[in-house]
Amino acid sequence: MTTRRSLLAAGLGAASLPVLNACGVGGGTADNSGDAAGEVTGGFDWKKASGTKLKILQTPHPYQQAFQPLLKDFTALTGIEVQADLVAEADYFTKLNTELAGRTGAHDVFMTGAYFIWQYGPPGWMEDLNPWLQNTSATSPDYDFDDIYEGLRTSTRWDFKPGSPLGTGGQWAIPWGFETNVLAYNKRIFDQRGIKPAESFDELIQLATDLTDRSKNQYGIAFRGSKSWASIHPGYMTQFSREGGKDYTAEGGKLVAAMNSPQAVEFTRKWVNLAKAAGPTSWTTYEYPDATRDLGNGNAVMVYDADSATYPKNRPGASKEAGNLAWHPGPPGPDGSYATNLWTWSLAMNAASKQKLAAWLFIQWATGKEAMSNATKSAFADPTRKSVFDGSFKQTLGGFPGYLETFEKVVDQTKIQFTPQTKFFETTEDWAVALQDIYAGQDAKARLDALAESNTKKLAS
Amino acid sequence: MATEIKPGRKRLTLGSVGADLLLVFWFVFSLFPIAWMVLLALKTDTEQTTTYFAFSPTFDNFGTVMSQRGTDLTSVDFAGALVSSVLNCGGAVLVSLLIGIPAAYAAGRWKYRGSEDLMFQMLSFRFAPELMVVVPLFVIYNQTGLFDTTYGMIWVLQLVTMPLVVWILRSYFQDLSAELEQAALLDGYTRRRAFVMVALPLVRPGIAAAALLAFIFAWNNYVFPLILTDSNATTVTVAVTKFLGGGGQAYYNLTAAAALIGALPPLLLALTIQRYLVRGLSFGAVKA
Repeated sequence: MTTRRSLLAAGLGAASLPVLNACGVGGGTADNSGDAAGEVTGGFDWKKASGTKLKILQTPHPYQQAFQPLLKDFTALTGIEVQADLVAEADYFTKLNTELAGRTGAHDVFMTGAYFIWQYGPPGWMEDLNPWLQNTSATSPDYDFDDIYEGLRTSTRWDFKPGSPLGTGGQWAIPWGFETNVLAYNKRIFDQRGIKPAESFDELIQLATDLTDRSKNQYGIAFRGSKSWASIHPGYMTQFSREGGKDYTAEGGKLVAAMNSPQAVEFTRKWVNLAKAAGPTSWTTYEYPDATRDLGNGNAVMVYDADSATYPKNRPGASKEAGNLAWHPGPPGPDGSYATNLWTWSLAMNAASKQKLAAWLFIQWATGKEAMSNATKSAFADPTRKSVFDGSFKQTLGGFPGYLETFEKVVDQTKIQFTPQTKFFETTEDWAVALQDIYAGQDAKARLDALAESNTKKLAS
Repeated sequence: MATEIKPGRKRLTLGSVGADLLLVFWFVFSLFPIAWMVLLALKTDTEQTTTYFAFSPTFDNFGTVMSQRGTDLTSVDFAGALVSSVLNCGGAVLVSLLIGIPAAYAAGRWKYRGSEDLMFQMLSFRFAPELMVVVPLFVIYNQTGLFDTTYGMIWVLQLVTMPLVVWILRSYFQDLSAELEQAALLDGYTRRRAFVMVALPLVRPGIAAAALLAFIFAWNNYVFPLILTDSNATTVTVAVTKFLGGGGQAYYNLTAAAALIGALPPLLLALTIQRYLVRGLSFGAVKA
């Protein structure tokens, strides 16, 4: 998840990329041939890189916090010391972008979102982890990569060719923790009124409008609306996909924007009207902390965002409404689709790292079954491994009504619903701007037509 | 007969009362963010996102931020960052004074071809965006071992502190009558002795003001420590933001407490030598 400042950082990172390359920094393609992986021979042994000191770059997050106390276990297992450096989420990608572009290998392992692979992968800044996965000398026989949900494994693979789907090409990161974008609601208020979550998008609009009472500082539903790509990816993209919308279509090897199709226009018009009728009054500035804050305070009755963002608000003492929250998949599409967009914090290896074996051992350990099971004892939601979710994580969901059922309902259709492309951040931010313009009164069809034309041109250039 | 107005007393008019009320309003308006931050720092985790003023205040957040408990909870070593900031900024100001005072004296006393260009170039370090230079600096720092070190931070903060020191003190030296030093030279002083014994004592207020301003600017710098440090030499400005958390788990109350603690050293320093500050500011602002 990202905030407005992190978007700025991402934008800054994207904008600075040509400058960095022009400076002679980060240009060209790195050696991602997997030679480093190939050099590891013999039987697998966790102690193979004993004595190494590893540096990892992270942003403060429940995932990171859950693993922090476990790092000593990794050191005991491998003999590798770990220095975990933190950078605030708002500036994380500015720092990461600078580091990767500098090709210094200052940090061996870093946290990344799947979308960032589309930006950091093509210049050769990331190590392809597939050769490491395939090498039995480097990977424990117990690792069981296929235990990680398929939608997550494919979301971190791409061959960087426009129009190619995810799941092709190198494995640029290993999913570590993830979130599905679903509905969280205030069960106390629902129970008081004797109502249930909506089962269609039109019902959701009506329900949210009915629950809105501005005089009591209560409104129906919160979701992101700020000028940023991150406003598109959670609730909007999830419901957009369920309603039959597509962002791009591949025509003759080129991507053509399709966010102005009749279904897309109709859905977008309704989405913006929902924000007007039952959303926060300052919707165009809203980011996920605002939405989840309002849910925790009892101002918003529902939130359409990441399950892992609403999950902490229900932990005892974490908010005013802690203990009163519940989860629901959100309305299915007209054809029953529960297509859901995901965000995954993944672990990736710096292609310029000088201690790649140690880096791989860390990634392997952190995304392995044992460490992830231990992490779920803290606020680690959601684990990326099916065995961990079904095992230790399920036991933590006692006071979280509907969380498990929601997860199980959507997980098979959860993947990145966007078409991968290297100008993702720029074009998706333009999409968010279009939503704001429609909110301000512009005609939905005309505005989305203009957006589609502009984005098609940008991707062709 | 004209009404006599006693010295020190102001005639009360509607306009003056209105102006005073406006100033009071502006005072409250300006300080509101700080007051809000103080309130937030006193709130518990449960109340940290609420907007009401009535709550049970707690000072625990300040203790948490400065203790191992806070580090365990958030992985942020704020006390360490506070020490680093003092070392980085104190060191940077010291180096700037050692080099900047003679430089400012020379710039204030001697005119030569290109002297103004040189001063302008030095000033340009202040208004050039830091992000423009930070990438090559990052590469150089990694190659030279200066990355994430106090020495490295003292070095890079010269870009912030040196121009301030030189420009402010040049104004002071220009303001100082050259005849005093000439008299000393006639008395047999060397140029260096005249500088140390005559000029330097007279610009002490300026040195105090320049040092304070340089310290504040260095203390507030964000981009250089963000990119050029990790855990060892990081500063309070960077450490404070880490309390914001992510993934739906934020510590706004700890962030506010950390920000208040982080503002204390420059505040205390400013209070200590505030009488020099106004003069330092006015010189830096209006003198060429």
